[in-house]
Amino acid sequence: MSGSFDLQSVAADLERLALKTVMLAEDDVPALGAFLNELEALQEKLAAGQVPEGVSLLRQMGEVANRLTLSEIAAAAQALELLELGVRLLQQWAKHGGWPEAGEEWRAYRRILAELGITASASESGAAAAVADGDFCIDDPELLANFLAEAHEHLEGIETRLVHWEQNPGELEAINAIFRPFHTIKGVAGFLNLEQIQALSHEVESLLDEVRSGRLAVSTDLVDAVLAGVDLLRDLLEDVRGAMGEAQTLPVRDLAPLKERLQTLRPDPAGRPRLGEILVDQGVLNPEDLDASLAAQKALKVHQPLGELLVQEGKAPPRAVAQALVQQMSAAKTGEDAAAPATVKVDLAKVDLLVDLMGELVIIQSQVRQNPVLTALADQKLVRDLGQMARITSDLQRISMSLRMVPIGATFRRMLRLVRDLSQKVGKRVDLCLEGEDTEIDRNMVETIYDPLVHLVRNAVDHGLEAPAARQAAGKAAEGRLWLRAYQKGGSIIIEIEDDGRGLDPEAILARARERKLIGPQEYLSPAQIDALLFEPGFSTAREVTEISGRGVGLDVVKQTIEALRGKIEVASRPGEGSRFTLRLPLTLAIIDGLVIRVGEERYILPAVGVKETVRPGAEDYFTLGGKGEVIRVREQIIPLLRLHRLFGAGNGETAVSEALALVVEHEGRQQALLVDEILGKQEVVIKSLGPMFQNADGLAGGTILGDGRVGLILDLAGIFSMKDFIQPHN
Amino acid sequence: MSKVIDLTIKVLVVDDFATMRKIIRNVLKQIGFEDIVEAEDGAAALRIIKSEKVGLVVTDWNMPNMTGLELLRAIRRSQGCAEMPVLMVTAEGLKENVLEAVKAGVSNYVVKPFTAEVLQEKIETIFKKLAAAD
Repeated sequence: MSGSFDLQSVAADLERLALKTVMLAEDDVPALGAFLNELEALQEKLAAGQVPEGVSLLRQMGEVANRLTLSEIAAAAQALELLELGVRLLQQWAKHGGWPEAGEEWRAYRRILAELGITASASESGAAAAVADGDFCIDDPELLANFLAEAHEHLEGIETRLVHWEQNPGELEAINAIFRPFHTIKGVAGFLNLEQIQALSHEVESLLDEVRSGRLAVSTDLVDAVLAGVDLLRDLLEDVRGAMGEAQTLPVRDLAPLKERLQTLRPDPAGRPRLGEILVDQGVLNPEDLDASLAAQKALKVHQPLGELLVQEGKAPPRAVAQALVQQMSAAKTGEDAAAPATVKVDLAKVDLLVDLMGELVIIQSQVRQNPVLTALADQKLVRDLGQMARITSDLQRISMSLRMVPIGATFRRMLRLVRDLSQKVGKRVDLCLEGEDTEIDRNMVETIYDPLVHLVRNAVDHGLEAPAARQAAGKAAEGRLWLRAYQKGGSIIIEIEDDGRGLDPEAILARARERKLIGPQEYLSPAQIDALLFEPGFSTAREVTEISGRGVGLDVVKQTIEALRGKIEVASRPGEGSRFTLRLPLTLAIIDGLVIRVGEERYILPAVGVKETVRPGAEDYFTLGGKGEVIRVREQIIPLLRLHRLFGAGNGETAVSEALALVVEHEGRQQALLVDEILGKQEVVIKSLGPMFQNADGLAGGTILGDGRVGLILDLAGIFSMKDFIQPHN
Repeated sequence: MSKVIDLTIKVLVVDDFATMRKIIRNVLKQIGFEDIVEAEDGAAALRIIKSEKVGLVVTDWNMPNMTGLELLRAIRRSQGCAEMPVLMVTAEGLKENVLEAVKAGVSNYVVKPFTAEVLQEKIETIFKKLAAAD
């Protein structure tokens, strides 16, 4: 515990922090703000004073306070308790000048931290000395004993396998056999709260994963390091055995040297910059000194962390090293460590069921809330409690929905290979940039969007981007750029495929559309409408389009697929600068954003995504075409009118047009006005299947239960468009 | 409609987007506020705050010239405004922004899109805390 700062002033800070903690409440934003500021100031102080344990404790507390501020923690009381415990631990440290022994408070702190889903390893890096954690749960001695036996067994074969593998480095099964035990041990240790074992096996596993994926070659150094890892793991396992018997507490071993040794072997410590590099970047250290120290570090018999060595040699001041370490930790947090939270495998069917049941719960709570008997009571407390229940249920629904969400990164990364192969084939150079890989998407949607994505990426490489020579002639870099982007916007997931290629050629598209009789010879279209022609069925075929604009290969199919997911696709382009396809997908398949409409006495839900606009047609805008049905005029455009009353035989079909509303909907480029009586509101509804009996009910996508308990049928635009062709107007 | 909130105070809505101002104004009206003024940027907002007695500021985060955060900081620096209720409106998913605003002393924040109930709840929380502090 080196104290290059005033311990008394820290004690005073802690006193202030403790007071603020007592006053803290999860909904008191100003208090949270003041608390966060105090935490940060203190963290800086401790970092400068080289108190890594204190820094990581404060970092964890900061993480909890951040999440609390963002309302990401449901169990606010627990989070507040954790913050109080943290402050108390820090106070004890400041008072005694050393970390308190493992005891009740540490145990409580760790337990809550784990329950809040913040793992110590995610918020603290191996470079810092391990926080004195002397506790683990021996809830189930039998389970622990089994684990110890199994873990030893797993580790046993590793030496022989390692030697075999060193001689036959190409054998994938050999490396897998070495990788697997670490992986298994890590997984089980996570459950048993054996943090050191978990952390160490994670390190070894990550290193071996680099080898497995071909990013790192086998070397004597590597084999030695893995063997050292095995030895240390054995020691740790023995510690646990000891703790189960007499000792009762788990000694803390310093994992840092081995962790750092493993780290230095990594080819590219993803997201985690090297300590030496940070110091060189900051101008604290010059590169020659760094190289010299690294060489010296290698020559040492006993491993010594680089930071320590630099301070010892007087090449960097302790303060700068401590700051660099903190910076390294925060970089690591956003990098790989943070991306691997503890996980549990669950059967997808169970998750689907949970999501369904949550939907039911949301509906029933909304029914209870709107129950006239209850609302008539007009009781303040009841209203508040019901409101609270509504919030909790919607939180629950959101969380259960998120269980089915997976990051889109894996799908994106499959495109890397595609682009590489494709660009080589067509002799172009393409730089593919992935953005927003962490964006989550409904698991059931991932497979469906894969093909459309391939289609769009292929199009972009094949036709959108020019050949290197053409690009240079146009004053662009020879290497074309392609972006795959994903982000969440409102209730939608947006996926963008953008290139900096030649863009769309509006003249060519227009000419083609006229030739195909998709538009009239004199029809005027806005640039956006012209681009939208690409998605028209039968617009073009691959060969022909390459000659004109370089776009349009089966884009109608892409559009259909996206629309089947209740999504939307759009294209924007600038000639010579590139084009961008934007896919807008609903967050989940289970819920749609719907307009609740009234038709006669019935209520229906129309997916909001298909509705272009709502008009109240005047009498002068309404026409009947002899024997061909009814139309309305919307800004000089004639749109066929369909009375939903007649389609579903709901109520009086003869509502005067001027008294009703017309919703202009679009499907596959065709427009249709639907006549309804009233729009009752916009609402998110949970889609329920109508069951096998009504599977073939045309025009209906499913049903839902509305807030007041009544059933509302969800309209299916595609079905309505195909149905209305068979309906004869009442004339 | 609400016991905690004094509905007669003047509420200042700051947003560069006229439609958004209107939406927020409508929601505020639903809650029961009557005295609502608007400003389309931070500079105009500060002028109003200096010349009139504003009881609550609802400001957008993302505005040209002066961001909501800068406005918040300017308000907190102004005399007698250290405790002025300021509610920040942010877009979904911008956690960093929220945390920055919280550290700069925002009274509460709300994420777009929000309902009248959510906004009311946030405003009630602000005034409850203020009342408790008195």
